[in-house]
Amino acid sequence: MKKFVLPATILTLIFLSFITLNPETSMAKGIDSSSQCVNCHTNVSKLIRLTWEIEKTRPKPGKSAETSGEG
Amino acid sequence: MELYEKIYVNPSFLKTDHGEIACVTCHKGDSKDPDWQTAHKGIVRDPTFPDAGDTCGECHEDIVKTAKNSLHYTLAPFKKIIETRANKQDKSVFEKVCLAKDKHCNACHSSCGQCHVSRPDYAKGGFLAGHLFQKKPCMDTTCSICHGGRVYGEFTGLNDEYPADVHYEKEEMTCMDCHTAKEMHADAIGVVTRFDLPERPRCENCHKDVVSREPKTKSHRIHKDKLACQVCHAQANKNCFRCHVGTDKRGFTFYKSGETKMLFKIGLNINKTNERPYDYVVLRHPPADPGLFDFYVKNGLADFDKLPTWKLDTPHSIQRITPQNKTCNNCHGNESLFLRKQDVTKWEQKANAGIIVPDNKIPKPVKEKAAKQGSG
Repeated sequence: MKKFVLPATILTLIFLSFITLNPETSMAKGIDSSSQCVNCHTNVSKLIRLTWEIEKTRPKPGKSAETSGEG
Repeated sequence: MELYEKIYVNPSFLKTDHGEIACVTCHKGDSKDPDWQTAHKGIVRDPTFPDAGDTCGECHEDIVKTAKNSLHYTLAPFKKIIETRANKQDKSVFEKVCLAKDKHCNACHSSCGQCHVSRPDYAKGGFLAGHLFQKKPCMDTTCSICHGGRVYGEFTGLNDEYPADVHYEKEEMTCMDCHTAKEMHADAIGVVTRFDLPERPRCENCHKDVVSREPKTKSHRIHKDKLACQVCHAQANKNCFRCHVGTDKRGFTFYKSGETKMLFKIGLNINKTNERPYDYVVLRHPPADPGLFDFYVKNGLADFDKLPTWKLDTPHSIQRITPQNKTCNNCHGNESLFLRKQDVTKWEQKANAGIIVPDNKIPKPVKEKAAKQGSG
């Protein structure tokens, strides 16, 4: 009996790590802490620094000075 | 709104149902790439436009099915109006008109995301609340962006001398209290104007007595099917004239409109329907002009007078007592309230022929005794 315990435990561990680490499985599908999108877009100071960088190369979208009137 | 504010995601979003979906599922890009520039390659800013089927539609299939054909998505009446007025004899001219329409008139469409997640593109976007989905968005940051020139100002009392709409002022109602999700998401295929949408708001949805067989108020009994509600209960609306569009040297689109006038004009109802059987309706002059697209192509709107330039309107400036309904004779015999030939420029007279109120259709003044009774 004992000789089956070790391989069974190893197989179970391999299966569990596959489930949790494979990005295609549903358990790993949600937003996780390794998402660079989340790391950056939830961090105000990072965003401020990055947007300064962006605005240096890409000026703020402007509006035509020729626009006039209401409507 | 600063750029960082526009794209900041509130961490609490991650705990919501929508927050459980990986960013890249909707927005594409590469969530594992630490370099923001390459990570954003192929990013989709608004994954809900023009087709929300693969995003919102995955769970909200029934809503997306109709919303993709809604007025806010397609702006279909604009297309119909401009094509009716366009020069269809010359194919190259017609194509230029269509391009100008897409560039200018279609710039303020909306989408699922541009109402429920961010401000509309027309306002250069920006999350409404850190990407938290708003079931009922705030009218001040969504509706007002595109409807701010006229309706929002009327409704909230931004026009000098004219109080806000009573529904806003006294009942604190918002746009969405009348313009429900059912209307916003309604399929508008085949709808010629927004007034023809079956799901549109109707005063009688709340004010049922007015359309009952025997309304309590005498003036309602007298005028019931003859006047649109707004003829008695709306204040002046904003009328615009001579809009011209173009692109400046830096590539920015521009809009130039001529004078703006606060007016109150009643006209004849040329499109009577079972639901809108009224003889008289309130009118508004939209900014359209035959030279609208002159920057792009001359004589583009050669058939401009195929449609009236004074249009049916439902001003959002409702009051129970208005200058025209204080007494019967504030309206009866008051020529200045009605759109007459002299109010319409010469070149517009043919297009508005059925709407202009001839002298014999201006209601005659009534005797004072009757006037007192009628004012109840």
